[in-house]
This record gives sequence, structure tokens and C-alpha cells, in this order.
Amino acid sequence: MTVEAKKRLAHLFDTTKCFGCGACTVACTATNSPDLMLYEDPGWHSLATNIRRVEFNLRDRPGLLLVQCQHCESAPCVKTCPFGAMYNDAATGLVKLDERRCIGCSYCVAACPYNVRWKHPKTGLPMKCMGKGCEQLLAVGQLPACVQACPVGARAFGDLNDPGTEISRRVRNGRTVRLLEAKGTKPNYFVVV
Amino acid sequence: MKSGQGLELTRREFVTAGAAVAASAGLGLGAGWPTQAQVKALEDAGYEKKPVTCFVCGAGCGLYAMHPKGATPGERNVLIVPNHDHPQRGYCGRGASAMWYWNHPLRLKKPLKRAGERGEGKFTEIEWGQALDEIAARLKTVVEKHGEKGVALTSHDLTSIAQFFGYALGTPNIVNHAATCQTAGTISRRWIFAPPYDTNFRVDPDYENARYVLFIGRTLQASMGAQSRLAQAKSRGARAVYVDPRMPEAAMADGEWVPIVPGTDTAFALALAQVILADKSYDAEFLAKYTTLPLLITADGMPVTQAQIRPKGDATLYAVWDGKRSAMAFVGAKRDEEGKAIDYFGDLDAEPALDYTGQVKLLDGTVVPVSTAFNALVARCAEYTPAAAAELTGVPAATITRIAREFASLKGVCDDSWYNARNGNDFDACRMMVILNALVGNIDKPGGLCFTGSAGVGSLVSLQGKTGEVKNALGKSWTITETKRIDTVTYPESNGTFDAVYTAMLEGKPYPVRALFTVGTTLFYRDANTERVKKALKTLDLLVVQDILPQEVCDYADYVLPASYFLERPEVAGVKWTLQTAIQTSEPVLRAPAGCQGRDDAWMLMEVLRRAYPDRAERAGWLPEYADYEKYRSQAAPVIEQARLSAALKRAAEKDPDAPEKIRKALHTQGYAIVAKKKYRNTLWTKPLETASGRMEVYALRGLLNEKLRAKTDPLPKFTPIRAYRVPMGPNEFYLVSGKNPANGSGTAVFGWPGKFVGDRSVWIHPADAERLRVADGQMIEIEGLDNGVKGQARAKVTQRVRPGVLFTYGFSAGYRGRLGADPRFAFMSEGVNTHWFATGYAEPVIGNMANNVSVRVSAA
Repeated sequence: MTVEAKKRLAHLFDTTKCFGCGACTVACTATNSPDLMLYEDPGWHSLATNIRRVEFNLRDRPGLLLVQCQHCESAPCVKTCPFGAMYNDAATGLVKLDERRCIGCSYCVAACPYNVRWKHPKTGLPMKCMGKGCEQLLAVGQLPACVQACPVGARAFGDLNDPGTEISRRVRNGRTVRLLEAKGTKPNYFVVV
Repeated sequence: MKSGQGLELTRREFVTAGAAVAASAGLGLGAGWPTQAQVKALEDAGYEKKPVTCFVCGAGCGLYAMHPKGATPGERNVLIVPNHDHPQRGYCGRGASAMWYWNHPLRLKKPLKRAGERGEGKFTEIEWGQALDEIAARLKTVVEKHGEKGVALTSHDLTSIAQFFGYALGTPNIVNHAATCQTAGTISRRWIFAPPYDTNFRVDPDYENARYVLFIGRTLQASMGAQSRLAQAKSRGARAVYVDPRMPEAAMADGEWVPIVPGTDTAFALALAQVILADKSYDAEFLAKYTTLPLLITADGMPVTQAQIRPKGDATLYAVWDGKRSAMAFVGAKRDEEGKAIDYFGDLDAEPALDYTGQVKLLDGTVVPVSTAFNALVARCAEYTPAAAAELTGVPAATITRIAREFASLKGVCDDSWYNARNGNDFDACRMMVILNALVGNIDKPGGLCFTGSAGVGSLVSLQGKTGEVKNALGKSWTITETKRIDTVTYPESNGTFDAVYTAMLEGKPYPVRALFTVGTTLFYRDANTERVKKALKTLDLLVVQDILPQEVCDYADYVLPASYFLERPEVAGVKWTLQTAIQTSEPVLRAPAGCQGRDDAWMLMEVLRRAYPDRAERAGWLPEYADYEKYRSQAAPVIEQARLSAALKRAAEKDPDAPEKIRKALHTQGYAIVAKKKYRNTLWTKPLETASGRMEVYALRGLLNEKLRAKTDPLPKFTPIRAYRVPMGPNEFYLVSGKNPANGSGTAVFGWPGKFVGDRSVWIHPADAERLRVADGQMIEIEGLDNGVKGQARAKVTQRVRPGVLFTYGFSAGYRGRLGADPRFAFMSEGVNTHWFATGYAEPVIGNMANNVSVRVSAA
């Protein structure tokens, strides 16, 4: 279900700036999963982080892309959840989980075409951006950990409904794509290319 | 990681998107760029902040450690965040993982004593008192038999601590890892700029204002503030070009990658110079006024001095042809009583010609032909036309010509390198990197190669080579008799060739070294020819290893001593790799984790000294009560740091009496203080350098003026083929190139759990080579050194990011073979290969720089 949000919070990732330092990826773990510092996600063989690194082995121009929850307006995970645990937050548009309703069936993990969800090994809850640590940062007026971490400003986060925000300006002025738009997900993750 | 792993994004979709790359220039970083306000918000939410200087690699970037007020800081509640406005604003994958090392499952916790053969990695835990007593006794035995110089110390970034002890003991042999890191660049700057502008961070591109940055081999993966400033310049339209056998991560951020044959950087740079000279797009006025290129030289390359021409002439004034007066003129530097260059001297209004050829009558009546050094440079570069260089470098001639013209027209800056030990022929490559900047006159200007200042933070210890006088931060001074570092016997220009110490261990030449202390360094990731390293370590009478983690070298130690982590100790230091002259402070955030007896390196060394030679400890200001570690922490450590800061405050007060108070306040509130902002066109433009001529020595006099060096060195760079390893020729033979990355790749980060995932221990191979050898992406391959037959295995990564005929793997990342640190949870550390396994250990004559690259034979495993 698509909800008319007061805000439309979105992420921006700039491939023309990212130099693959991994700061955002590690900062995500430190901020959102300090209980899983030495954990390896068996699905992705990854650190307990909400960010995935994808390298494109193109002949003319090898490319690097960091992917995380796209906070889709028409999110497959929201549609798929049998228990209504996944929802678009009315105030921000962010895709969130109501833990009280989640039984850990992992349908949402399987449904995500971006393959950016993983399962907490102890609670069984589906994990993704934004994690609890970043939600706390937002609550005190901070940017998410990955945006703060980036040494080259390859990331932005903010309200697309406000034309004065950094992300609005960069989406407006830059050349951006959204990933897998053909899936009808209406992602709120903009990639500068 | 496999391409597009798990994501249903098609190649076509990304290619379509990729076609639009580079259209985002001019966006700027604007209001969304995280600032100090972010940290303030966290403070308002109840967090306490402490500034720290990151030590996960050696760049020393600025971070904050934050934890909830009132809570005991620990691994789960200390948040490491960037110090956003810091002149070296930190945070990369290494810094982000800082909390992973503090309570690392493999952290060294108690002193260990060897219980098996060297190399077996068998130890028993002992108490500090026993460890220090026994080490002291064995140290005395070595000193009695072989003298103080029979004791060597080595470190990576804690060299000053090793010197603090070493000079107190009386050995000059503190020999660091420079030869496999930055020697080629440091000595190239020594030859062109002279000290203090030989130190790698005392000269740096002004990335922030750059228009065009040429990186020949450098990837800018350590100093994150520099990367940040480059990003800001790029957002304003600056371009970055990376000349490298593999495509570095930084090039993926909208940079141009120019794949080059390993070992041919000098030829590439000489060809750029050839185009600039042929096009006459050089800055003639700059070259004539501020470099040695107008100096008149004789057929043997020697500069003509006033003393050779005029009775009672000055031997430090060099002849030039004054084009304005059509007469000989003389230029040089005026020096004070201590020999310090204070002003330009000679015929100051002369207009030195660059391309003069003529004759000079010497005092003895002989007439000799002379020509300018500029003409010699033109002749040298003429050997390297783009077509000729293309044959050597594999870079198309048209690309060389284009880059040369872009560089000249945009007044580009060529990075002068940091980690530059690649092929053992890198000294001239590094010289050319600096010289390119001179050709376009882009020295100490906005967007150019700039001199950086020193905040004057006091040294922990200093040694005057000529007098043997030592001064330390505890306010003491004394003299030592032996001051010549052992590596400089063989490599007179080296700033640290530890290989010479291995020779002393193995062959006793020039004299035996029988005891070694390693202070926060990993010989097996940094030193070439692993088998030689092992063999040498087995000869020692005493090997003491001080570290936080079980580096491979521990296996060979008699004693392993657990060190403190940077988040546990205070430090005051100058900020490196920035044009701003600044001081930073690092505050202790944590105590050692439960069960860990990690101690400061200085404490353990000085406690060994106090037990072995109480009088020498006393002369160095080390009091008996510091035996109590808590007393050292509360008394000696703060005194040392305050003394170091006081030196900087004293200097600042000379210009502004209120400066010390302002600096102290800034350090307290934000962790750094900018003492002086960058002033362009200062050094060199208004006052001479400490070179013989006072000028920028594009044509170097240093070698010529030293009889011992003259025949062995060349005043101008030239391309020398690789001698460090056999150049690969056969279809399954490859260069194996090593390099760094910004995600892990440091002696500490190699142990990092995050590094398991954000790091890379594979060996890259180009798709065409992989197809020919029938190697699939992810397949194991066997690698055999062409020079020594040593074998290793690694997982192949088939990628377009490496040029055909070349393999690539990250240094300080792969191939851990330590037994003390063997742990199934960290088995990933042993994946892959370390290029040093296959290395010969060749060092460039005179300079002493070594190679991290090697050549290998590959087959499917």
C-alpha cells in the first residue's frame, strides 16, 4: 500500500564520488548492530551491515555500487508480509518493521528484489536499513551513520518533499537513476551516475 | 566479490546508467556535507566526546570517540565518528573499525616467553617483572659482547619511541621500514627540495584547489582529509588521472585510469616532460628564477662556480648566463653562521638564460665548453618521445601526449607520492613526479605542489648526527658516541633500509646485530624476501616483539610484550598531510579490556633499560618510580606530552602572546588547533631552500657535490629497467603488483573482522589472461615466484581492473602464516599471498629503496 507521506525521506548514493573505502559499511554495523560485531551473515557472507557492495566488471568502465534498502514507495516487502508487520511510515515514507507483528517468516527477505535484507541470528527479525541506531540518530537531528561516515560526500539523506534539502538539490541537479524501476517498486534510493 | 552479486540489476541497466557518468560536476558538497553540528547533536543527546588520532594506519586522521555520559566506555557503547572540521578529517573502513581491535579475540594480553623453537609460535605466559628482568639481562649480555650498536630496533609508526629508548641505551640502529614504503619519494624530495621538505607530508598537492591531479602509482587511500579535499575539488570540475597497472578504487570515482606496465613510471613521466618541453608549454620564468636548470654545467655535468672563474670567488655561487646583459652571472643562497640558507644571493637582477651554450675561461686559463642544465634535461627527455615511451610503458603515445598537454594547459599537479616502493627503480620516478610540477611552475601555488608547515610539536627525542648530542622530552640531554645508522653504511642516502640489518644478522657485516626489538611493526608484511627474514630472525640472541596483536613476527620472538592501543593512551602531534599547520590531541578513551595487561611501548622499553642500565635510564630522566605503571601513566606520560605541546606553544607565542591559550582551548574543545593557515608563494618564492643552490634542484647537485656519490648517481632522472626481479616473459608469467586500499590493508587492519568482508585477499587477473590460462573467477590458482620458486595459492578475481600480463593483490592484507595467531575464526587472514614471499630483497644502490612488486608463474591450482 502506498501511503501519502508528509515527508519523503530518501537516500542518495553518488558513484562519481565513492572510492570504496568501506567506512559506511562498517559504520552501519557499529551503529546498528553492535551486538553482532563478530558475526558473519550466512546469506551474503557479509559483516552484519545493511549495505552491500556490488562491483561491475565492465570492460569500458568498471563500476562500484553500494546498495541498501531503497525505502520503496511500493515496497514488495510491505506487500508480501502476511502479518502486516512491514509498513511505510506515514510521517517519513521510510519502510519500517513493526516487531510486535513479525513472526520471523522471512517472506520479506525473499521478496526484496534488491536483496538487501538479512536475518538477525538471535531474534530472527529481518534486518535492513534503517537500523535502530540510525533511527536514534535521526531522532536527535542527525544524519544516518553511513552519510556521516563518508569522507567524500558520496551520500546524502533527507526529505525530497522539501526542495531546499541537500538531497533535493542533488537529485534536481545531478544525473541520477533509480535501481530496478521496472519492478514498479518506486524506490527512494537515488544513484548519481 | 562477484560482479553484481545477488542484485537483479542487469549489466545493460548499469551500462546505460554508466554512459551518463561525469555529468554531475559542479554540484558542490553544500549544506548536506556533514559538519561538526552532527557531533554537537550527539553531545546534546547525552554523549561525551573525546578527540582521538586514528592509528589503525599511519595517516593520523582526526576522529571523535563518543560514549554515553556516565557509562563505562566499552566496545559496544563507544561510537567512533569523524571529526568533521579537522584539517585531516578522518574515517575510512579502517578508522570505522577502530573498536574491533580494542577487545579483539586475538589481542595480546600478557607477556609471553618462548617455549619452543623460533618460528613454532609456542609460548608461556609470564608476569611483567619476570619478562622485563630477563630481557634486561639478555640485553646486557649482547651489549657486553657486541656493544650498543649490536642492538637494533625497528618500528612502523612508533620510530620515535624506539629512538627514545635506543638513544638512551646508546645505539644509533633504529632502522624503520621506509625502504619498502616511502624511501624513493623522501630521498627524491631530499635531492630536489632538501630537508625539511624531504619528509613525505611536508610537501603535498593542494588538492582542494587543484584543477588536474596526476597520480602516478598513488591512490590516496590513507589520509582521508586529502581524499575529502580532492572530492571537493572534483565537485568543482577538477579531474583526477591515475597511472597504475591496476585500477585503484579512487579511479572508480569518476577518475581516469591509465594502465601502465609495472616499473616504467619514470619513462612515462619523462615522456610527459618531453612533450611539455617540445611544446614549449613550460613556465620558463619559474624555471629560470627558482630552479637549477639555468646553471651552467661542464661536459662532466659539474656546475661551474664563481670560485672556478674569479680569484677569491665563492664556491657556493653558481654560474648562469644572464640573457639581459649577455654576460656571466652568479646565483646562490646566503647562509647564516649555522649554515642555514636565509636569502637569495649573487646577481639578483640577472635574467638567467635556459638554453645557453658557450665557453667559460677558468682561473687556470683553460677554456671549457658549458651548457645549461636545461639543455641537459631537454637532451635527456629527447630519448623519451611519446612513441618511445609507449613501447616501454604500454600507454599509447596519443594518451601520453594528451595527458602532457592537459597537464600543462590546466597547470596540473602531480602527486609526489607516499607509499612508492614498487619496482626498486622508483627513485627517479619520484624525482620526475616532482619535476613535472616545476616544469609548469606549479609549486607552492593554489592547486599546486605545496610546502606544508610544522607546528613545532616537540620531538620525543632528537639526535645530532655530528655531535652525538641527544635531547629528550623529559628535558634531559647526553651524548652518544656511535651515531651512524647501520643501513647508511651500505645505502648512504637511505632513510631506513632494514634489509641491511638482516645482512648484519646473517653475515655479521659491517658488524653483528644480535638483539632486535620490534615496536608496533610487522616484518612479514613489510619486508621483502620472507625466507631471508625468517633465517635472519633465527640467528638472534634476543628478539623482543611489542604489539597489540599476534603479528607473524611474534612466532620468532623470545618475548612478546602486549602493547597499549591508541584509544588507551594520550598523544599530542602535528597534523600530517594537510596544508594547514595544525596540532592535534588524542585523549585516552578506554583502559585496556578485562584481562589485558597491554602497556605503553615507551614504558616497557625504558623499564628494560632501567633494569639493565639504571644510570642510562636516569640520564634520560626515567625515574625509578615509573616502574609502577600507574605512576608512569599519571606522571611521566603527561609530562612527556605536555613538554611536546609546550614546544609548539612557545613557538606560537613568539607571534601572538595569546596563541597558547587559544591553542589549548581549541585542543580541548575540538581536538585540533590550526596554528597557521597556508600561505602560498612563500618558501622558495621569498626564501631559498636548504639545497646547495637554494633553488629547487631539478638538476640535482647533491650527488655531484659528494665525491662518494658522484659516480654512482645521475643529476637528472632516467629510466632504469627493473633489477629487483626477473621481468616476466612467458605466457604464464606475470608481474605481481602490490598496492594499498582504503578499506583495510594495514598491520592492524589485517586482523580486522570487518576486513574479512570489506578487504580483498584475492589475486586479480585480466579476463584475457584468465581465458588463456582457463582460470575462472573465484578459482584457486597456484603462484610461483620466478626468482625463488616459492609457491603460494590464492583465489583469482577475474577483473578488468588490472592490465593484461599483470596480476594484482593488496599488500598488508593477505597470507598470514602466524602460529601464535592461528584461530579458526580468523582463518581468512591466511587466504591469499604476500608478494614478499616471492621477492629477492633487491635494494636500489645508494638510495636503498626496495620493491613490493615481484614476478610469478601462474597455473590453475
